[in-house]
Amino acid sequence: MSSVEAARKYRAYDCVACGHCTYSCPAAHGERRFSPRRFMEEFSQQGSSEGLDIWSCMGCAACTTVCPQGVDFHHFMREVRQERRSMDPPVRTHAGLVSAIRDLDSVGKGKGHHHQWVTPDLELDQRSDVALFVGCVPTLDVVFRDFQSGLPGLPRSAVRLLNAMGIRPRLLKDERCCGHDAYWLGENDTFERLAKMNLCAIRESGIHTLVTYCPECNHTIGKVYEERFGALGFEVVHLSQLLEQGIRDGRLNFQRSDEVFTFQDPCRLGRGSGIYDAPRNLIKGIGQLAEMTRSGANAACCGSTCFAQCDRITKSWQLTRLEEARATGAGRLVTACPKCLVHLSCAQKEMGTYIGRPRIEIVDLFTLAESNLKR
Amino acid sequence: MGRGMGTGKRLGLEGADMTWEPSVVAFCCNWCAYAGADLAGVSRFQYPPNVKVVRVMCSGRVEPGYILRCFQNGADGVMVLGCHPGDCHYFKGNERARQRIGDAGEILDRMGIGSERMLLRWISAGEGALFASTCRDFVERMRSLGPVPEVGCVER
Repeated sequence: MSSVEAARKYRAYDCVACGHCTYSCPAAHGERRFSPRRFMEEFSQQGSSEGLDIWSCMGCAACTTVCPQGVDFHHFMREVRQERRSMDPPVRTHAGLVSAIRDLDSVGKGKGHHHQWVTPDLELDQRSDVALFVGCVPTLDVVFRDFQSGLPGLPRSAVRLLNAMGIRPRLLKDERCCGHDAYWLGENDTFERLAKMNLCAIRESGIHTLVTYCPECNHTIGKVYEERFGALGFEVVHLSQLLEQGIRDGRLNFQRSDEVFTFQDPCRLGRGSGIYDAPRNLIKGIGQLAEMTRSGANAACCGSTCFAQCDRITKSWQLTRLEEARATGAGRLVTACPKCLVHLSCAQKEMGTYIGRPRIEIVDLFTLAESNLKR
Repeated sequence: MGRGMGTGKRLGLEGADMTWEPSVVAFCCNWCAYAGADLAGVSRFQYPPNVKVVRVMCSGRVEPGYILRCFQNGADGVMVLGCHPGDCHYFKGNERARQRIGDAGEILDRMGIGSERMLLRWISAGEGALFASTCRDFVERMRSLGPVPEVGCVER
């Protein structure tokens, strides 16, 4: 699809240049050569957007949510990236390691992910109808363990919570990266290869429910795969939805305390998949919830997506978000997305130790829930 | 897939498994291992032609991403060869290499490719014979392991 066709499809020509998008955009704050409004203006007047930093966009969909004209800016942006990818590539963070992992996964090399994080106490059943999609988190742990040691705990907590609900999930034999980053960076070939391998692996296993604990896997498999490749033939559920159901049924019981938490809405969970209440109900089952000023559909992105274009401006955006979390008076900041966890922990580690910057502990929703389980 | 590194399968010789030869990339540090490779050549020590030498200024320069890209593009094994500990031209480059390569090995294990397809070895400029024998042994090990499995589930 060319960018002009994409502009028609995603209603880019309906833009009235009101600037709501730029007001809400995390990438437009700071001195980058990018803002959604400016992008639309240059695109509709000159038919191109050259010279603007298209990789600054985090694809967080804040602009699409506030747009009064219904312009689907972040999807439009994706198509523009796909068109301009070869001429104007993004700056990859972590020396390109994360994209190398994804690309290696996409050529189908290897025996599929090796689940070295599994501990003997986890109850798994390879004949189960429910599968847990693990994703890249155990691999990314190698890259990020210097400042966030909790990543291998995420799939473990997910399995333990499912066990507590009486569900013994299976792990897929040959799962790959879900392709979220490839999709939003406009790497269509990589995305399609990954998606086809995953769909094949899931369908071959014959499960009827796929549980994800990562909002990006949830959105990519549940929404994007369906859009691209038609009906899935299985159900994709985010773990928080299942747990909410478990609390309502009385199958799950948590030790409740007076501790105050605040919640960082992941973009793909909230605006992407429309799941706002499930994680909140989970937190309210454990302690009290103090909302940040920007929360729910207006939540601020954690500042970086797809492991591209991370810089000083990103860091300052993340610090602003951390300040906002501290201002709620909450003791801990809860996230439900491995990427939010990594990015905010990174900002905390890099800049959070200056005098006058109180620290806030960042914890993953499922790690928190698991440690508060009443057994 | 598989640019430039022809194995039997990728050259269109399907079914001719006998033509499969392991393809091995060797990252050699400029100051020690590369000079060791030179010495091996000058001294006429035989080593298999499957080894493709890439010269880097220091073994610490080899990012885990490079190693993954090698496998992505068709390599069956990757060697990283540098100076002995304490001999690094840049003082501590090889210590950093040890950490980076350790990380790369863990990533390969978790992705199901296996860290046994990767080797970190210290070879000085005077050890031409060691260079040749390391190459021979590693290529033999790759030959016994066979090609990197390609089991990505494909829709029929």
